[in-house]
Amino acid sequence: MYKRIIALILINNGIVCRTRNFQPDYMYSDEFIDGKYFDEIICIDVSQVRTDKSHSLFLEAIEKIMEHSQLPLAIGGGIKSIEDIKRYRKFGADRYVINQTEADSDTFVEKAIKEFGKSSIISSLNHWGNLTYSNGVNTNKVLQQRVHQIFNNRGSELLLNSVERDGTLLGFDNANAETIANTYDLPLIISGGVGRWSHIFDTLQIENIEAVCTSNIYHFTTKTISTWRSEVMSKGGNVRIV
Amino acid sequence: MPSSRPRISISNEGYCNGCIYNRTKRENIDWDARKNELQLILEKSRNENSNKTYDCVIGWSGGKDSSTVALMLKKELGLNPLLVTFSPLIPTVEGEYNRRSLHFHGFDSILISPNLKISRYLSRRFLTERGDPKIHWNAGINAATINIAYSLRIPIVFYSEHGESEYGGRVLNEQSIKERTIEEILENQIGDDPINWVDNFVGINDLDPYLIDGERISKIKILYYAHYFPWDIVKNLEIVENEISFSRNKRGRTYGTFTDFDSLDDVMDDLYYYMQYIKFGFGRCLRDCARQIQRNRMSKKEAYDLISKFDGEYPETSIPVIADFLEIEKARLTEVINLHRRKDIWNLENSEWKLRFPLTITDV
Repeated sequence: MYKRIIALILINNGIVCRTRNFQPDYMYSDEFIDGKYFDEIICIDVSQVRTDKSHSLFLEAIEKIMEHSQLPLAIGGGIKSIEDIKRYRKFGADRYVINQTEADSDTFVEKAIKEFGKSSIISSLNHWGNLTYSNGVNTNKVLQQRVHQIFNNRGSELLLNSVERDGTLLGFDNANAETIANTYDLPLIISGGVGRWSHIFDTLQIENIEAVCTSNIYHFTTKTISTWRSEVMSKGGNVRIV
Repeated sequence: MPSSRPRISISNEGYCNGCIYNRTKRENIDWDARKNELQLILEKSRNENSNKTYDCVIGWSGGKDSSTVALMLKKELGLNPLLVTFSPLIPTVEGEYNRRSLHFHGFDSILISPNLKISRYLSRRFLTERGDPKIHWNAGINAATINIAYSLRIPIVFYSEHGESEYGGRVLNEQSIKERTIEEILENQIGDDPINWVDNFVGINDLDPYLIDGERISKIKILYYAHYFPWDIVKNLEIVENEISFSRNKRGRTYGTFTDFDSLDDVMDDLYYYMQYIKFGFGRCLRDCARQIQRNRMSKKEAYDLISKFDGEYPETSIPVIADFLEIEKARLTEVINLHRRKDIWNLENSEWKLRFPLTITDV
């Protein structure tokens, strides 16, 4: 199995944005997103207040982004019901990202898995260090315990978002990612903090980590993503040839 | 400043963090104590291995601000600074004149002029991908001072001011308003790590003038002059014009604004600020007016009139020079510029781009 690089595209009221600790702080034109050197695209609606208007702007933005791309698409951000998933399904999404940081999402995720199949659902957990992060603050819940509960639910891939590292360019939170990867036999996607290509290489060396997300300015550096792929392959890394 | 300025925060009362910081700063700072604090840092940083000629490096464009830093550090603290310039992409007559003026006043300087083949390529790439033809220059001006200071064993580097706290933006932490860190450089100034710019055309060695070395940064202190001395760009102009022969913009007024004394050293700045207007919906005039209003030097009515007149002015005569530097056809340049217009800011009405929310007098 190849390890994957995913373009995580954050959309705030229909506009592609960069975030720092999950706060949108820099907006971009969506004209330059070129997903062809990635393996998958995840689009997340990060609008602070979600309305019908922001939802339709979100869909418009995805449509624009996918004009240039044939890659598998996952959509997330505020998915709370089977109806939400059906709407995205009509829109051509292959997978759906459901935030499972809070336990009250568990029944819904079980239902969603039953209806759409395990491989269609990505469970997502937000964390700051070794604690989960919800509604803009650290909780007192330990990340690993929450993963344990989700593992028992047997979802599909688990997306770990480090809010602490998000937008910092300091690299992924490998310490916490590795703890989870070593404890649970669960395919992991790691997100938050990538600043240079070596960060991706180092994190993909960890067993059980199937994919990493690049966000922020990495949508605009497709040329170097292709160079990076060649470099990783020359080091014996396991990535798809593009 | 407007809320579309990247990273800015706006209070519930509608003030940006730049204004809030400036009000607090002007009213509450004991500048003598700050000066003593700086003297202690300078004494502490000197050691027997330090350079015997130069006390500090200053990142220097030859403009009113960095030349004020040079003049004041010499006058007030008796320092002998080494001025380091990272060559403007397209140097101007005014910039060259102003740098020579300060040279004649008695300063040494080093000019780093990187390979233009690579610089042109990066400039074109970053204009296209990010709407900013100077991303690599932002890296270069940081790398140049750090590398020179490190190589010549000069323990202190000065920059003028911390833009994120002075004019609005994100303050990473309390320390970051005094000292420039690698996080500040990568995250706020460049937005990327230059090591990522390797591709089929640009090799790792080509990036030498731009790479930011964290190890080197840890060996020197990079300070903001404006943390230790009062900071006012209009006063800086007075200081410089009193001390040296300083050329203002020979056109009489800089494109897109009413001023003639700011960012004079690089023709590319005309495109840089025009792109600010394209990307964020406010231009150089609004920025300049905001700074004047903050210091109670301009009424809102005056600002509104000036902004209505000059903001977003197309730099007509600079564009051919810039297109030539970038080796890009003018029509393609126009196309690239327009691709950076966000749909929440611009509307295309009868083949004409219109701001969705043009400034009104009550917004100022």
